[in-house]
Amino acid sequence: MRSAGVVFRKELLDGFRDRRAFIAVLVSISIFPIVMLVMGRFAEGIQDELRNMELPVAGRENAPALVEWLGQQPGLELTAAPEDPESAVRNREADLVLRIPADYEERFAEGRPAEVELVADSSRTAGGAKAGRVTRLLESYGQEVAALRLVSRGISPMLVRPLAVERAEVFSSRRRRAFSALGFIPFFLLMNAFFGGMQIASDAIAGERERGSIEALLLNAVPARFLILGKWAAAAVFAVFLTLLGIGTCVLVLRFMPGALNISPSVTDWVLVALTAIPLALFCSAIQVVLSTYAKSYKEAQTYFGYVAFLPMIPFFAVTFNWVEQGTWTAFIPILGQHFMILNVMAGEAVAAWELALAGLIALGAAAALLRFASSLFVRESVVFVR
Amino acid sequence: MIRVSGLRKTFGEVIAVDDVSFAAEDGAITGLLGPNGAGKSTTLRMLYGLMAPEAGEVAVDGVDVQRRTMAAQERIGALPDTHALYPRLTGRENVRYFARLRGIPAAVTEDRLDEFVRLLDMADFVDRRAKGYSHGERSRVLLARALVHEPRNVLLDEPTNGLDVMSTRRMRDLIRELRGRDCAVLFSSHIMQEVSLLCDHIVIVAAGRVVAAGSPDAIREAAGCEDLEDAFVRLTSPAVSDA
Repeated sequence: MRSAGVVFRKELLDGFRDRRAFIAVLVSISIFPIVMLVMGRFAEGIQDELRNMELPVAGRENAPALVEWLGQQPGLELTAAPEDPESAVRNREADLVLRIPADYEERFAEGRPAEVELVADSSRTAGGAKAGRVTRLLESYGQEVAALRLVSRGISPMLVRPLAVERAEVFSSRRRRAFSALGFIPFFLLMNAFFGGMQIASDAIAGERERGSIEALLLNAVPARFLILGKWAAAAVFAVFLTLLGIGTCVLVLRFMPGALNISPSVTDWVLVALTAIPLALFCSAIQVVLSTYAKSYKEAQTYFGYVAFLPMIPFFAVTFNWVEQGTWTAFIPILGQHFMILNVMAGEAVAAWELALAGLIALGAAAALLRFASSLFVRESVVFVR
Repeated sequence: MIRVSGLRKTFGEVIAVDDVSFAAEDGAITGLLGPNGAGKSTTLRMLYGLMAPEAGEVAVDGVDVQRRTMAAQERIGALPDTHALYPRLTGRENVRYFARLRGIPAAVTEDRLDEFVRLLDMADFVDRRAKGYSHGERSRVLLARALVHEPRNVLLDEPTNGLDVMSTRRMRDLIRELRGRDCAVLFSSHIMQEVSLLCDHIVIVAAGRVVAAGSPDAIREAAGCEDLEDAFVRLTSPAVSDA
C-alpha cells in the first residue's frame, strides 16, 4: 500500500509537469460552459428586445383603428417606416416592417379579409421572433374585431368557439425547465468525470510502456496491483478535481445565466451533485486505466478513449429523446443513474440517501473489479513486451 | 549469486532461449556475450521475473524467481535494455522514485544519491529534467537508479551501449567496485573487448544456446584461438565452426 502512495505522488507530479496536456484538458472542459453562457446571454438579449420592441409601420393612415390599438400595446413602440421596407430589412436597417396597403379600409368595411404585410427576414433570430410577436398581436386584434362583428349581428362569439382546450400539466414547471434547460449539467459533469483522468491514465500506463520505462518499474518488487492502484488514484484525483471544477462552473453559469431559467439550486443541492459525481469519476478513471493498460501506445489509448466517449452521451440522449423512463433500476446503472440523480437534484426533487449510497457503491465496486483486471493485464508478458 | 538451469523460451515458431544454464557467482563479474538476437535480453528478462520460462529455473541467492518473484526481485538491481527514464522528472527524482518504491528511508536515499553524484560525476545535470539528457547522462542516472537499494545481485543489459569513452570507463570502475563489495554482477554485451576487459567468467550465447562458458583463457583455449575476438567469431557463427 505504501508503494501505491509512492506511485500516486510521482504520477501526480508528472501529470502537473505535463503542462501543455494539462492546459489542453482545462480548456476543453471550460469551452462548454462558456458556450452555454454566451447562448444564454444571447437568448436573454432577444427576450429583452421582444419585450421592448420598435415596429416601423408603413401606411399608418390606411388603418387608424388598428394603428391606435397597436400603439396601446405595452412594450411596442410604433415608428416611422423606411422608404423601401424590403431593402431596409434586407440591409438590416430594420428587423421588420408592417405595411398597411391602401385598400385596407375598403376591404375591412366590406367584410373581406383586409391584408396587412409583415416584411421580415426569418433567417435572423431577432427578425423571426419579432415577426412572431407582431403576428400574434395582429391575430388577437382580428379576433376582437370578429367578436364585435358577431355581437353586432346578435350572435354570441361563443358559438364559433365550440371547444375550450385546457391542459393540466403534471410535469412541474421546475422539473420541466430542469429537464430541458439543465439537461446539459449532468452531461457536462459526466463528461468531466469521464475525461478528467484521461491524460494521466494514458501517459502513466500506455505512455510508460511506449517509452519503455515499464520494464524497470516492474523490477522493483512491487506487486502490480499497487502500481495500478497508484496510477489510478492519480488519474482519479484529476477526474475528481475537474468534476468539482465543472460543478463550480455550473454554479457560475446558473448565476450569470438570464433569469428565464429561474432555477437556483442550493448549496446542499450542489453537495448532492458532487456526492453523485465523485464515485462516477473514480469509476470512469478505472475504465481509462483498463483501456490504457490494453493499449500499445499513448496514441492508441487516446483512440480507445474516443470509442468510449459516447458513454456519457447515452444517458443525455436517452433522457432528451425519452428512450428510458427513470425508475428504481436506473440507479443501479453507472452513468445513467448519476445522470438522472443530478437532474432530479436540479429539478429540486428529493434524492433518497439509499439511492445515492447504492449508486456510489456500485460505481466503486465496478471500479475495483476493473482495477483488478487491469492489474492482471499490466504484468502480462504480451502486454509488457508489446513493442 | 544467480543460478540458471535449463532455461527455455519460445515466441511462436522462434526459439529465443534454448536450454541455457550458467551461474553468476558472488564477488565475480560474469559476462553474457553474444551477437544481436542471441537471446541475451530474453534470458535477463526471465532472470528478473518479467518473463516466465517454458522450462528451467532461475534462483537468486537460492530464491526461486518464478515462485517467489517479489522476494527474488528484492535481491536484484537491474538495468533493463530499454534504458528509459521519466522525461519530466529530474535525474535525482528518477532515482528517488525507485528508492521509495523499494522502501528505502529518505535520509539513506539522499546519502546514496550524493555518493552516486560524486562517483558518476553527475553534478552538472542531475537536477535537470531527464528530457534533455545525453546518452551518457541518461546511462549514469539509470545505473544509479538500479543500484540505489544496494542489491547483492546486479543485472545489466548492455550497460555501455552507445557510451563515449569517459562514460564507459566510469561504468567499468563502478562494476569493478561492485565486485569488490562481493556482489554478483551479470552483464550482457555484444562487444568482445568490453567483456574481456572486465569479466572473470564469460558465457557465450548464440541462437539461444550456450556455446561456450568459462574464464577468458579457457574460452580462448576451447576455441583454439589466441585472440578472444576470433574465438567469439568462431564460436558464434555456425558456418565457421562447421568448417
